[in-house]
Amino acid sequence: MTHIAVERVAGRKLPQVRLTPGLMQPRLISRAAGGRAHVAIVAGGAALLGGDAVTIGIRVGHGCRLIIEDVGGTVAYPTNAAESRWDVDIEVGAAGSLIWETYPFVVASGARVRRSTRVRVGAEATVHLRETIVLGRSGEVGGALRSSTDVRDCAGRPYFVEDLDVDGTDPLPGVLGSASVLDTAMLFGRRDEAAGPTAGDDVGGGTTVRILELARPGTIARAIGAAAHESHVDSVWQRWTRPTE
Amino acid sequence: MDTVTLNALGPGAASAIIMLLADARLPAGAHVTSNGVEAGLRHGLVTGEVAAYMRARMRTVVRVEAGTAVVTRHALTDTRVVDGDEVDRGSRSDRESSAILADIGDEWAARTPSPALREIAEALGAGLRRVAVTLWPKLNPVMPRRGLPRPVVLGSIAAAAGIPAADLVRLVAYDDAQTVAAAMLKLEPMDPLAATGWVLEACTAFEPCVADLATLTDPAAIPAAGAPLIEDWAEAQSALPRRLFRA
Repeated sequence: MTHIAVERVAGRKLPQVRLTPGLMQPRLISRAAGGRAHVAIVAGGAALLGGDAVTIGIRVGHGCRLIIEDVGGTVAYPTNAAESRWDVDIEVGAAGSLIWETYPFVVASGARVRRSTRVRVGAEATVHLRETIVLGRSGEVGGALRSSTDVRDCAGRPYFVEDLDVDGTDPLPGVLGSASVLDTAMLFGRRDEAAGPTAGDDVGGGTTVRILELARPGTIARAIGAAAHESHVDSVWQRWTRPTE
Repeated sequence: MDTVTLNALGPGAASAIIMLLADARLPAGAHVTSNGVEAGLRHGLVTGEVAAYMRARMRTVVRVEAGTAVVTRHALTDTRVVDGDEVDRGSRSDRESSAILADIGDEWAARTPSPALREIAEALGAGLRRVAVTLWPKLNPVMPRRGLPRPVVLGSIAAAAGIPAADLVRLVAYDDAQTVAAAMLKLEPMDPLAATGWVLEACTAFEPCVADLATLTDPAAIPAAGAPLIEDWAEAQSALPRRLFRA
């Protein structure tokens, strides 16, 4: 299991960063005063094959700020064997912040994948996540993906709970229809102040980025379309993660 | 809360109430929604896909709504069956019941990221609440006036009226598909009987899910099956200056 933990240590200027490699390998890029750390994640081998189980645990201590950057995207390859798994467990302590910059997660035709993302958001903490799902490599319709997201505060009150069940061989109207790309940026713990409740940002290519203000402080930005280069939420993601960090 | 039935109806009360709740003539304001089909037709959904759209809703939003209604019904029903024996958990205060409804509402809202969908569900909930508190006055102190989505109101009625959980699940499913069918007839010229056939097909396809959904009791276990395009369409529809339906 891959583990990344950042904590402040009394009497020391820099935060303590503990990295445990698994199928994914974390690498420390930098640390700074104020509990700041920057970590990259690289694949330890050819991921993601049938039966592979990637597990990533992330702990951001009280008042710490962690930026994680994936070094490349992930392809889930076709399998005749067991489904592959990608399980992420995140806890961000009080007043902490996490930004996780990811690349597309491609579900090749014939692949079967289960993803789960569990997040616990501390008081006054903010969490920024990106999930770009692409059904199929070039010319493919794509495989089957079940992706569950469960985001709650420390008391268990929910921000966002979603189980997405998609299969490139069985497109459902109203779910993804004929689209093969679902790009999602997620912000929890504060709202995207720049956006109105139902504002759509036109990013060109006929794609509209839909801004969904959650019932509790948090915002989901989504683009749904045919190709990752034209259906993306880059502009929203940059607005959320660049200015004040 | 006591289990209240409309005494004059006798033993058939629950069946009569199910029919009443499934009837578009019930003055609860449900005619304002197309369940996304108006927006869908503007965004590339074609008439030939509407039957599949109804089935897709059965696998996504209907599971969320039905699960929410069943969990609400369970929370407001005092007498539970444990291992075949009826166990009386004692009555809960109205304030405790309200707090439980608020928690269930939070779980539902977390599964409904589109503000437009939350807004229409609360508008429909307010319409149905007026029916509920008139026919079952004991529900009045339990249900806050604002902010209750329709499935929470429906589950509250089911608790008060003694509607079995499985029938409540079927009611949510039938109502969902029939709403799409009725809206289609206003939006696109088509054979009304064909649309009726789609409703029955969708309900039949959903039937294997009914028993599991009917056993739900934990708000955190309410299904969360997402439908990103339905949410996207709902947001687009809410911003339209000219439209036939609110949602």
